[in-house]
Amino acid sequence: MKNLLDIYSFMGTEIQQYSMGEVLACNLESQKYGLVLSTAQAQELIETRNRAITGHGRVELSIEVLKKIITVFCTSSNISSADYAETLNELVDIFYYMKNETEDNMGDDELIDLMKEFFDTSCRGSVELLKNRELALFAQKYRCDMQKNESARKEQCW
Amino acid sequence: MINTDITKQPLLKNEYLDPNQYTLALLKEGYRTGLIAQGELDDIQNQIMALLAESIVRYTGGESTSLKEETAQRIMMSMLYAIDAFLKSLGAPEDAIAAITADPIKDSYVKGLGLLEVTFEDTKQLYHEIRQNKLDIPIEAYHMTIDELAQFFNHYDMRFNAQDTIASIDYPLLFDDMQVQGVFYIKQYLEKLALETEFCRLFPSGDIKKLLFNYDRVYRVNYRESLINIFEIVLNNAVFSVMSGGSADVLGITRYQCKYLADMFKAMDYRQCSARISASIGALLGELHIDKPALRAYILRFKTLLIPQLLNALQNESLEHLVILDEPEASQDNYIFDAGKSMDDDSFRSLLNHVTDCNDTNEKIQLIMASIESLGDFIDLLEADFLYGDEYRALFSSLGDIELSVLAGIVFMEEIRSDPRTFTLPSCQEISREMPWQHEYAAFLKELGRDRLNAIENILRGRTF
Repeated sequence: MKNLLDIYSFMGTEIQQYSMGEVLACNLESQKYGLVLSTAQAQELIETRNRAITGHGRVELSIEVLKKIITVFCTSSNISSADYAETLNELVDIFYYMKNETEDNMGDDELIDLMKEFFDTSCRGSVELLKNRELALFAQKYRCDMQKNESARKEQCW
Repeated sequence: MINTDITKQPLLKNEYLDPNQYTLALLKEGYRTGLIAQGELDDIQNQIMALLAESIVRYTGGESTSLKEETAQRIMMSMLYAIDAFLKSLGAPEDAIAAITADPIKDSYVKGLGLLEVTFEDTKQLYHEIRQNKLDIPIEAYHMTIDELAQFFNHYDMRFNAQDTIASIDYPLLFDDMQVQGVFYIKQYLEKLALETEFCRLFPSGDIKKLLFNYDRVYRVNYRESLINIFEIVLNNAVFSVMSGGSADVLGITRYQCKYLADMFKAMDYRQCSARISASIGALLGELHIDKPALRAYILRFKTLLIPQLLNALQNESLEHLVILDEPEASQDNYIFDAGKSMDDDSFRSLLNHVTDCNDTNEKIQLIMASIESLGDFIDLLEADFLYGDEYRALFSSLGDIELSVLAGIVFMEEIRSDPRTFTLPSCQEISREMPWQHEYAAFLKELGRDRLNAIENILRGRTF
């Protein structure tokens, strides 16, 4: 009998069974931009997503974010078919890292759109610049603003 | 058909059904006994996960599909808490299993949420009644606990954190159940507090204050600052009053009565002692016209606590520690925890500065002992974390058994409250403590001899249990 409270065991088995088809279905949209994932690449992306979730101490019971990252980033002119799969793997990890850094206060869509905006402009397609410069600075400012808002709220309460 | 008297034994064993994790226990036990098949179990787990996914979306307002693991676990526990509420309301575990195998688990969840809502409102109403009916007894923990319980009603989150009690409850009940969580914990706490209050209201508050004043004298504490249970002290003396030929509504017991009790019990064995206590509690219930079944049952439970205390007191010839005598004390020992002598804030800060500046351990300890006279100040000083390692040991060494028992009552409060019958000082010394002074105190106790530990524990038992 499985541990009924082990959410990860559920994520690792049940979700994986139907997510492959959903990821590959994203090719319908991305192929318009000349970008396609092979079955092996889709499998690797799902594994990256699973590792990123557990590695960042998170829980997710659907594959929606992964699909959203694929469909948003496949429109970028900064991604070529040669580095498409690798870039997606890195973006997935950055996404869950940023969810923690912004303390879950940013919605999925908002965060993915922000990542895309930086990626296409100031980062010129570099995931290193995206993670280590733009998003690091953004997270720092974001947390600082949250603290200020929290202090102001407490002062109002007093 | 042959008619027999053999009744069918239930397959489910109640001892395996933890009421605080009822759904999970029910699934495990149902699976073990074959009442739930593997396929049904998998289906239920899938339904729970689907419900969790739905709750996550609701929690994030639809803006996020993932959460930190601890948040997801908390939401999951909250869901199960609500499902537990519904399944327990069905009574027989077989009916609960039928409900989760025949109907979608979401139905149990929704009905459970409804029960939590009703319980929350009932508990809130009870809280307002208790707040309006507070005893006129100046015990800080009692008043602060009741006042701060308002926070629970302001912040309780029955959808995403239903199992969290989120309240600062310092005032101890005589019979608390700390295994229960969330709104059901608060409900049982307030229901018992209401019973205790109802009983205490049978006595003039002046009599109770006088009893507590005598309690201070015996245990060298300031009852205003102590984590003591008023009901227990009042009931204890009322029972001994009846036992020694007095009235149930008289709390004052003379030394003559106490001697009479000691002589009487000396001639009795365990069974006779037990019978005498039962008879006295029965007489008390009649004399005070206590008819309410819940209050009667609560008072009758006191016997299970009183018997070991009494036997312990008789064995140690310390009945006057168990029965609070109504008399002024002729001699005053030197002790540091006194009533009504708290330092003002400036003096306290000044003392802390002096303690910090002082490099010699002995001088430091002398300074503290010469300046501090109240338990509250003493605890504040310990919690200010101004002492280090050996300094704690030196400070604790300068205290007497009574003072050390007072500190033990604070350090081991959770253990005492969770199971007073099995509590012993040696059994708790290995448990890690959050505050450095508590950790040092436990380490200090470890170095004491068995006789000294017994002496401290006996005082503690007489005072708190």
